[in-house]
This record gives sequence, structure tokens and C-alpha cells, in this order.
Amino acid sequence: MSSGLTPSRRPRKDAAADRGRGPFRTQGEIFSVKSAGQYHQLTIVAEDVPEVARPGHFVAVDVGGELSSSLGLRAFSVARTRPSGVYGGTVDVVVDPRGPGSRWLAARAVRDKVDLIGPLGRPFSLPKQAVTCVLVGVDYAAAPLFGLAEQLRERGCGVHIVLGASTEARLYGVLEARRAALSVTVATFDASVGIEGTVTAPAHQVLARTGADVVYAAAPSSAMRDLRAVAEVAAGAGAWCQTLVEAPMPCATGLCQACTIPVLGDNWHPRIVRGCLEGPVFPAERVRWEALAPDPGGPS
Amino acid sequence: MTDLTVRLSDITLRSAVMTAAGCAGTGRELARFVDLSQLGAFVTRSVTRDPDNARMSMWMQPTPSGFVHGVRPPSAGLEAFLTRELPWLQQQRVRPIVSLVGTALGEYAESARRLGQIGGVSAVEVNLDTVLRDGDGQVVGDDPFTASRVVGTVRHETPRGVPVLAKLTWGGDPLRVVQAVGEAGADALVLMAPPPARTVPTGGGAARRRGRAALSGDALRPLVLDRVWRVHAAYPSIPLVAVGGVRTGHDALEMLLAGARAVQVGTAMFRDPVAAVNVHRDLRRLLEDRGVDHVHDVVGAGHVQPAAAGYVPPATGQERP
Repeated sequence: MSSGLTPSRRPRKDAAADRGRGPFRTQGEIFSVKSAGQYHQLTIVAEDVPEVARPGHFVAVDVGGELSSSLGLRAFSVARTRPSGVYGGTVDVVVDPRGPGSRWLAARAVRDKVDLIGPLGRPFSLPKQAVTCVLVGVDYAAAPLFGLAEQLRERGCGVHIVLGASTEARLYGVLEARRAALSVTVATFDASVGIEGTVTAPAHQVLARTGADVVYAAAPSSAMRDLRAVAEVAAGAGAWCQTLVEAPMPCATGLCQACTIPVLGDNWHPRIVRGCLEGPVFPAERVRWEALAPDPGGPS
Repeated sequence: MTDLTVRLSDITLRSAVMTAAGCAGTGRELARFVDLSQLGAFVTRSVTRDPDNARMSMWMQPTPSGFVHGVRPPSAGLEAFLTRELPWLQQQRVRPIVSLVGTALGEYAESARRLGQIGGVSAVEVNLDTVLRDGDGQVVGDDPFTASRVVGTVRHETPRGVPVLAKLTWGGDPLRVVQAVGEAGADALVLMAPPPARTVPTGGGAARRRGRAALSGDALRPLVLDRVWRVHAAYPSIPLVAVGGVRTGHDALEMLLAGARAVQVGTAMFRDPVAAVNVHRDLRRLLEDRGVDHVHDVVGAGHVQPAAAGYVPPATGQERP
């Protein structure tokens, strides 16, 4: 055991009505660690989680080990899942080692144990018809878009991908995008690769060129402004837009109320909801972007 | 098997372990991971009379062995709680204890009255970590007079047989506050609310940090232990519920030895949602290992040599006020 979670792997049988779909507390084992630009991509063998995780879901990892003074979990989008194989099912997460928790996880070695809970949150919704979709991702937050692209293609949707970052090393998934999409547009703020600037202008162009009906967008909380801008571009083009809104999630299970997101609820009434339960994916028109404060905490 | 049932005034709890206010959501989130009926009680989020949903005052920043966080999370208001959250809790075979908070005496009174009309609430916990709108800006629980007025009001509006628990704060003279809320009718004390704390942003982000903040988590445990110890030494007959930094069965046992009758588990559930149930299970095992038949037998047992621990109870106040 590396830390606070106890060995009981499954929730009690009588715990919850939808227990079959998780979330599950489980001890995972690092299967592989690869670097991807500035990021680390970890493949983790985790019982039960891969079978039910969908694009947009996240897992919460207990970072820091037994002697850590850290009391919270760190949330990571599920980048990929592979169903049970010889070693059991795996989930991939992409870690940006920018704070103590993410650095700890990024430093795990193959066969190390990590306690995690997942899948958590609400995933992306998929269109019922075969429509054209534009997927916009900033930094490592683009990671869940590739599993999403795969599912969209299986439904016959045309997929176009726009990726952005401040600089080339912070881009994620450009090669994978070329395999997964009809077109790929890359934008970096310092013009180290692709178009100069944020993802907003290229997203606008791709939407205009393809006449896409659906936009999926994901960005870290530091790029909230880009996410909002893409949502506005989508609204202007009459496209249905879902956004993955990142917020610090100390518990990730709905207990602590620190990941509040201001939204418009039923009857377009302003509400504050917990991002870990009702998010992280929200319909863009439901998010009260103007009330969404910039990332308050330091990196974690 | 050791009996973990505890008596708090007029009610009996199945276990000496319960959740802490504001740390267990609505209960539905926790029920995905644990069987709530194993807990002595489920303490709700602090409920305000009116919806207080418009603001973004809740934030949380990790600090060593704790979190610094905003003091008042959004609240959907009492009516929403009564229709959307309480009925579900009442079906879970766990005692619901409703935490009340307000910014005026009248709000506490109305909330308590409404809860009394509805019924089906096992106890009311009065959150005194608030500042009254028409007051002097002091935290209610820090001032014996204001604290006793709030507790007295809730006690007055709450039916007999439903205990009123007062959750105390860190400011002021602790024993004077204890005496005042005891005289005002508190049936038990919850020690302690999170102490005031602060973080200072070093690069932007200050806008969201307005308002009061407090520290929760493991870091509090020795401080709470000390407070439980001192209050129990001075007023051994007042039932105490310890809250702050309880993460394991061992932590709970420490609190009981210091004089608490029950413990609440809060922040520990953020790292592991099963923490409260594990505390219950581990506490039982620890007591069994020590040959203890009933949890009550260890309450305050750490005081056997009080002088050695450096605390001398005051000459007055040996009896319950």
C-alpha cells in the first residue's frame, strides 16, 4: 500500500444503486511511463475502471505516499482506456509535472502502486447522428479528445482537430491527431510550430470551412479564456458545444465543495454546482463564464 | 465484540463515529463508497435559512497536513435541503444531524422551528463559526454572550428529545464559552470548528480569497485534543464530540481518552471517502484488543493522572453548569 486507501478494492455490494458503473476505489499499478513533450503519459493497470470509463471521465489519484502531508487527491482526465488484457485493463493519464502532486505522480516507476478512484464526473455526450465535429484541445487537457475522436469516428462522424499550446513542447497528441482526424490544425503562442496565437482563430476557421455541427473543447484552467473564446466561436457558428472545464478538485468525489462552477441550471437559473459531480464536461451555453474566477490556487 | 453505541443526551448513536459538517456532501456522494448505516450519525452541510447560491466563496488550498479553505460554501437554503436532501438521508438507516448556520439570530430561530415542524431529525448542530449581520463583527462562537443567545434560541425552538449540539470556535475564553452555551441549553459540545487561517497569494488570484478562511485537516488533531482535554477536565459531565484531524481509529481513541464521547471524521474523507467507516472499524478493533467492553469505559480515561499532563482543572465549575 502506498498511502491512505485501504485494501478493500470494491465498494460494498449494498453501497449504491449504480455501483456496477463505479466509481471504484482501487489500487493501480504503473504499467508504463512515457514522456510526451513536457508531459508524462502513465499507463496504469486498474481493476474495474477501464471497463466503465468514457472520454471526459477522470480519475482521482492519491499522491504523495504514506508519509505525505498531502490530504487530497489529484484529478487527471482519462486519456485512454484499454479493456482487460493479460495484465488487466489499463487507463492512461497525462501528467503535467508542474506542482508537488503531479511531480510525485510523474516520478512513479513501472510496477509502483498508486491508489485511485474512478471513473468520476460526467463524460462527453456523443451525437446520435453522424455529424461533423471539431475537437479543440489546449495543452495536456487535449488528452481525452483522442479517445473521443475514436468513438466519434466509430459513429461515422467526421472529426477535425485543433490543438494549441504556449509552445511546441506543451502541445499534446499532434501525431496521434494526424492519425485520428480528417484535418489537424496546430497553434502555438510563440509560433514555434503551426499558426501563431491561441486556438480561437483556427477553431473559427475550421468551423467555417467544415460547417461542423458539434464542437468539443478542453483546456486547463490556466487557459480558461481560450475555452470561453472557443465556446463563443461555436455559438456564433450555431454549433452545439461541450466544454471540459478544469477546476482544482481536492476530494474529487463531491464532498468538499471546493470545485464550484457557476452554471445556468433548469429554467436558466444561475446555480453553483460541484465540478467533480456535474462536470467536468458542461454544455458551453450552461457555463457562466463571466463568473468563473481564474485559477486561484498554485499548481498542484 | 466491543459495544460502540454512545448516548448523547436523549439519543443513542449506533457508533461513536460520525461525519463532520460540510465534509460529506449530501450523503449521496458518500453512499457510492460506503454503507452510511455503519456510522453513528450523518452530519449535514451547514444549512442557511435562505438560498445563498450566488457567490463563489468556497475555495480550498492544500497546506501541510491540512487545507486552508473559505468558511462559507454555497447553500441551497433550508427549503431545498428539506425537499431534496433530508428525505433521502432519512431512508438511509443513519441518524441525520442537521448543521445550522445563519447571519442573524432570527435565521437560526426560523430554521430550528422549521426543522422541529418537519421532524425526523436526530439532533441539531449549531455552527457558531459565523458573523452576525447586525453584530459587532465578532465570530459568534468567540463571544460567550452571543454564542449563548444563538444556542439558547435554537434550543428554545427545537423539540424536547432532539439534542442541540453547539460547535465551538477558537477565539475567546474557552471555558467561559463552554459555561455560557451549557447554561443556554446545549446538550453536547462539538469541539472544534476549524480555526481561522490564511494563505497569501504570491501571484494574482487575490480576488477570490476575500472573506474568512480556516484550517482543516490532520494538522488540527493535537490542538483539538488539547481543547477536548481541558474542557473535559473542567466539565466532565458535558458530552463532547471531537472534530478535527481524526483520520484513523487510533486518532479517535486518543480523542475518547481525552474526554470525547464521540468523534466526527471530516477532511480525511477527501483523501479516502471510506475513512469514516474505517475509523469506526479500527476503533472497534483497538478497543477489543484492549479488552474494553463498551466504548464509554475509555471516555476521559486518559485523565487518570491529570497533574502529570500539566493541566489543573479550575477550582470552580466541577459540576455541569
